[in-house]
Parts: sequence; structure tokens; C-alpha cells
Amino acid sequence: MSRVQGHVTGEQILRYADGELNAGESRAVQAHLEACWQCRAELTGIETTIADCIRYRDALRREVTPPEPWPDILPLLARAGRQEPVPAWRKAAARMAALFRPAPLVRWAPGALALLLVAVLVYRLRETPSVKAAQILRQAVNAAELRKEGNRPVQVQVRGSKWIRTAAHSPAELAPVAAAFTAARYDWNDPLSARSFAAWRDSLSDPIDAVTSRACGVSGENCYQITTSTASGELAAATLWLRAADLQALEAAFDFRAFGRVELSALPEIPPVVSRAEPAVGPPAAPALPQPLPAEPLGPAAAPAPVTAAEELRVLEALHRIQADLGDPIHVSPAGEKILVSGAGVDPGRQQLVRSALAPFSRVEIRFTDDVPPAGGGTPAASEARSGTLDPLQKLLEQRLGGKPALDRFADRTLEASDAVLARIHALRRLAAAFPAAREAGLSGEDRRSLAALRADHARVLQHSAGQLAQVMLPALESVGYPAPRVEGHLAADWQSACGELLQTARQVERHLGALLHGASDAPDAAARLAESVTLLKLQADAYAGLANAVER
Amino acid sequence: MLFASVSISLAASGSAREASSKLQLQVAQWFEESRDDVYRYLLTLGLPPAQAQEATQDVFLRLYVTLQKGEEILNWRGWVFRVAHNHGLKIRAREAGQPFDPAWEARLPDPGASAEQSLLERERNVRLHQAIQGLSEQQRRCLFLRMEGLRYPEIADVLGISASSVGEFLRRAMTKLRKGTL
Repeated sequence: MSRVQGHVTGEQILRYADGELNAGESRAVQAHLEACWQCRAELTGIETTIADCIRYRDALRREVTPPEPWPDILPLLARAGRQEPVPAWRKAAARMAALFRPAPLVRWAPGALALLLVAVLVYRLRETPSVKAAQILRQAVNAAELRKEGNRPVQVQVRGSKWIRTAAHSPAELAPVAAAFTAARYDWNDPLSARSFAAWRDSLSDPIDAVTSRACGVSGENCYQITTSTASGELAAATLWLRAADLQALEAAFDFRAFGRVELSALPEIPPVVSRAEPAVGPPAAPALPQPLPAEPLGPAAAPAPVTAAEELRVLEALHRIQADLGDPIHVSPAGEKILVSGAGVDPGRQQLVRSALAPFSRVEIRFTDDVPPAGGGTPAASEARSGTLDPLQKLLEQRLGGKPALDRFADRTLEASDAVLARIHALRRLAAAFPAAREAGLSGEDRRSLAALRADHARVLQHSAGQLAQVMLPALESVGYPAPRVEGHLAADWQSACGELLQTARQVERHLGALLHGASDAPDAAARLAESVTLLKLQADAYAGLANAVER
Repeated sequence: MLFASVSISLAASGSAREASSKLQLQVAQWFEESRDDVYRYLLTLGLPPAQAQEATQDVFLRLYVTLQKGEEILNWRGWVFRVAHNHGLKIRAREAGQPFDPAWEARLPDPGASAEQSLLERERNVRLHQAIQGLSEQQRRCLFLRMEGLRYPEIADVLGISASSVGEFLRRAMTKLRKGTL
């Protein structure tokens, strides 16, 4: 819906409405909107929702107030100020820094000499992050050299679209991005690296640095964030995120004055595997990736090694990044020396994204067919489920919830939450099938942690969705005489087997929910069993979240 | 140079108290403007009301101490939400219990309670509220921060994610909200 060929994307329209596009982009979107009814209707829809949000916020502003009246904060501020003795030089510097603000405090500035001193002090204050930035970058460049790190494949995000760029291949659509980097004298051959960042920073006459640390990357690792901005040149500011553990560059963002923002993120590294000799496709790679030697020397006639668990894990991680492991009918299976990624009836846009995300993996074979998978039987869809007349229990539920629209919303929300639960359990089941305990034990420590991060991510959302389901479902069932019973939760001690139990419970929920919404007359105990299975699912999902986080050392 | 240093130290001692109290007044004014917004944001993170209220005060005290130390804060509101977010999550992690559910649905004003609040408006608010409950945690956080007037890079800074992720989260949130309020 948001990516119709020839239209602007939903994200661009929202950014336009939010004033988050640069002048050029904004003009282009505006011109398109003037010409296109469909996109204008989309904009109107977004603006209506924005208006709804503001009305809602205003209602909350009126109604949600803290339990106690707010105290007078001035005495608290005075006390806070006294508690932390501030070194005299910092106080002076602070007041001096205030001179640069358009404030009446300037009146006490005692002349030009004082201003000079102020400038020196302020310069010194600024110098600290610069020294730190230079130091971290130097260490990161050394660390990358030690790792013999070549230019890795990166995901490039620009104006709402994502592309994968490898050393061997840069999509034609990225030509303007390459031009922007070249104009800014930033090395486009290896854009996501401390080396290129440092080279660009060193070339500036007026770099202003800021260094902080924060979580970044797919699994929220602790990272240094270095931002350098400049008043001159095409590139106004660049930010690089380096993983604190090994100073590897994970993400970068570039704000070009004319071109706008470009974001890069590292893709899973390709393990040093021996791949089948393939005829070169397209022009040869500009700078070749330095290939580490294989562990065992293999002659040219040697058979290709079968895919390893670590390789499969990286493919799953790459699919997880684009959320292709949820709902999309995509299967990953190792087949000898290849990893087969197959899908049927996947939307062409998704296909392109999957191909792009998996481009760095030389041993992946992708097969998409256009056959639409048959719709899963069993639970009838919400719309058809509730098309007939209501049975007495449904009537009562409708009455308790406050009318037909409320019952419809209840049906939508519970079905949506139940779908979300099942999507996550299926993703976990696929992980469990690919990594049974014995195979998991064979992974390196780092790979085991990656696997744990992947399943913990699913488990977190699963817990949230199961919680929502319980939150919506249980009070409603209680209101019609089916309070949540006390249930004992059982869950296997290993995350792989526990998935099976979760699936069983989630299917029960789905079945009873379907029966309730379809008309419970043919399943008189559906409501009671639904209350029981939803309670059990919540217990199990909570327990599973703890289980999924555990990594065996 | 000696002359300059002496002048500065005299000037500094003369106006130290004045500058301090000016800063206090400034922070007190910001506190008044934004305390309720920060408080509500902390509730969305799952803090119980009393803790959210205390944490809100802590954030502004910290803002004052930071400014008093001479650190430059270019965007005080973005700073306040970032510190509130981190502080709130730390409190939540320490408590380790279930997140507090502010149950706003029940507090959305009743049409009978206020004359200017039409039945239709309440109905829309409740529907929107329910749709918001269906958002993912990050979508909800992005949405609440956007409602408080923060721009994408500021939201990105608060949540420690990229500005383009903020755009993506918001787009998904808006799509769901539209679906939920139709």
C-alpha cells in the first residue's frame, strides 16, 4: 500500500507532513501530491490521525495528573546546587560560555582581553571531545587493521529506501549517493569504517566533535557514538557508532547539505568459507576483499564444504533484520553446500528486499514461486466469523463491552494479538528446528550469544503480545461469567522443547477464540477454555522470556 | 593577562549568586512548562504515579546541576526527555515487577463530566487509545514523544535509535492507528 510504483511512500508522506524532509525532497513530494489524488488522500488520512492524536493528548493533559501537587522546585534547585561543589574554573567557564549566548549577562564582560581568555577556555572545553574522538578513532583503525577487515557489505538507507551494497556490487540506484560521498571527499569504497571517517575528519579545518556512549546495532550493544560536524564542505555532519567491545563500526549516519541523510549499517559478516567457484558476474570488484585462508588447504578439485550452523544462523539473522522471519512464507533449509531460502506467493517488493538482504551470502540460493499458499483452514477469518447472527453469549459479550463496534474491536484486537503470538512462536520453532541443543552446543560463544539475542527478541514480543491478549480477553470473559481460573504453567527447561508447548497452548487459544467469535453454541465450553488457555499462555510466555535470555557459557 | 584574570574573578564573585538564581528561575520555568509531559511519558514507560512524579523532579534537578556545571545543553527539552527515558528504564529495571498500567481508558473524560467534551470525541479518543495499546513498545514511545513535539532526530536521541528508524516506527504506528480509528 505504501510502496505503489510511481507514488511516494507512506513514510515519505509522513515525513513531509512532519516537516522532516529536506527542501529538495519536500518540493518533490509536494509536486507529486498536487498531481496525485491517491497520495493526497493518504496525506489527508495521516493528518486526520495526527489530529486524533492531538485531541487524545489534550484529553490526557486535562485528566492525567500526578498524585501529589507539584512542589515548589526553587528551594530544591538551590539545595541541589549546594550539594555539588563546582570547581571554580568550571563556574567561570560556564559564565563565560554564557557570553556567547544572546543574554544580558554580557554587561559584566570586562573588555576584550577577558573575551580572549573566554575564547581560550571555551576552546579548551571543546578540545576534550576532539581528543577523545581522535583517540577512539585511532584505536578503531588499528583494531580493524589487526582484524584484516576489508570493506564489508553494508545496508544503505536513503530517503526511505534500503539497498545492499557489497564490495563487488553497488546497485545503480546508489550512484547519486556515491556522487554525494565523492563530492564530500568521503571514501565511498569503504564508507562504514573508522579509517574513512578518520580520513574525512582529518581533512576538515573546523571539526566539532561529540563523543557519547549508547546502545546500537541489532542487539543493542554498547557503542561509542562519535559525531563530527563542520561548517564547510558538502557533508555537514557524520556520526559513527563503534562497538565498545572491539571498536568495529556498526552504523553510520551522514547529513549532506544538499543530498540529505544517508544511513549505513553493517550486515552480518560472511564467514570465511570456501565457496563453489562461480563464473564472475558483472564487472570485477573494485578493491578485492582480503580473504582469510581456509583452515584446511583445499585443492581446486576438493568438494565444497557443507554449510555450517554459524552460516545458517547469519542467514536467519539477516532475515530477522528485515522481519522476514515473521509471517512471510519464507523457509530456510541447509541443502548440502547451499542454504536454500524458498518462498511462495511472496510480494515482489518483499522478494527484492530478501534478495538484497541475502546478497552478501554467496552460498544462499533463493527460490521464489508465485503460487499463493492456500489460506490456513481451521480458524475462520474475523470478518466471516462474525457475519451471522449472534448467539446468546456473544450478545451478552456485546452488551458488556458496550455495543457492536466495541465487540468488533474486541474481535480485531484479540485476533491480532493471537496472530502476533503465533507468528513469534513459529519463528522460534523454526529457530529451534534449525538449532537443536547439540547443534547449538557446537556454535562458538559469540554465535551462541547471537542466537540467544535472536530468540530473546522474539520472546520479548511474544511476552508482550500474550500479555495484551490476556489484558483484553480476561476482563471481557470475566464480565460474562467466565473468570480466569488458577492454572499451573508447565514449560520444558530447554528453549527448543518449550517452543512446542507454547505452540500447543497458542493453538488452543486460537481454536477457542475462533469458536467464541464464530458463535460458541457449537462449542459450549469455548469461553471457559479460552479463559484457561489465555491465562496459561501468559504464564508460559512470561516463563519463556526468562528461558530465552539464558545463554550457556 | 593578569589584569584580565583579576577582573574576571571579581566579576565572577560579584555575580555568582545572581547567575545562579537566574539559572534556577530558568529551570523552574522549564519545569513548570514540561513537568506534566515528562510525568506522562514516564507513566508510559510503566512507572507507578508516585515514582514517575519523583523521577520527573529528579530529571529537572539534574538539568539544573548539569547547567550549573557549565555544560552546554543545546536543546533542553530533548535533553530532559532523554534523561527521563534512561532514568525511567533504570527505575523499571530495579523494580523488576510488572509495569504499571496507567489505565488511561478509564480516565478519558466522560461526556457527562464535561460539557465541551462531545460523545463523539470521547468515542474517538477511546478508539485511538485502544489502537495505541496495540502498537509495539517502540512505536508507542516514538508516538508519545512525537505528540510531545519532539522531532525525529530528537526522538532518535532519546531512544538511542536512528532517525530513519523513528520514521519507520511512526509510519507503522500511524497506519495501525488509522486502521484502528476508521
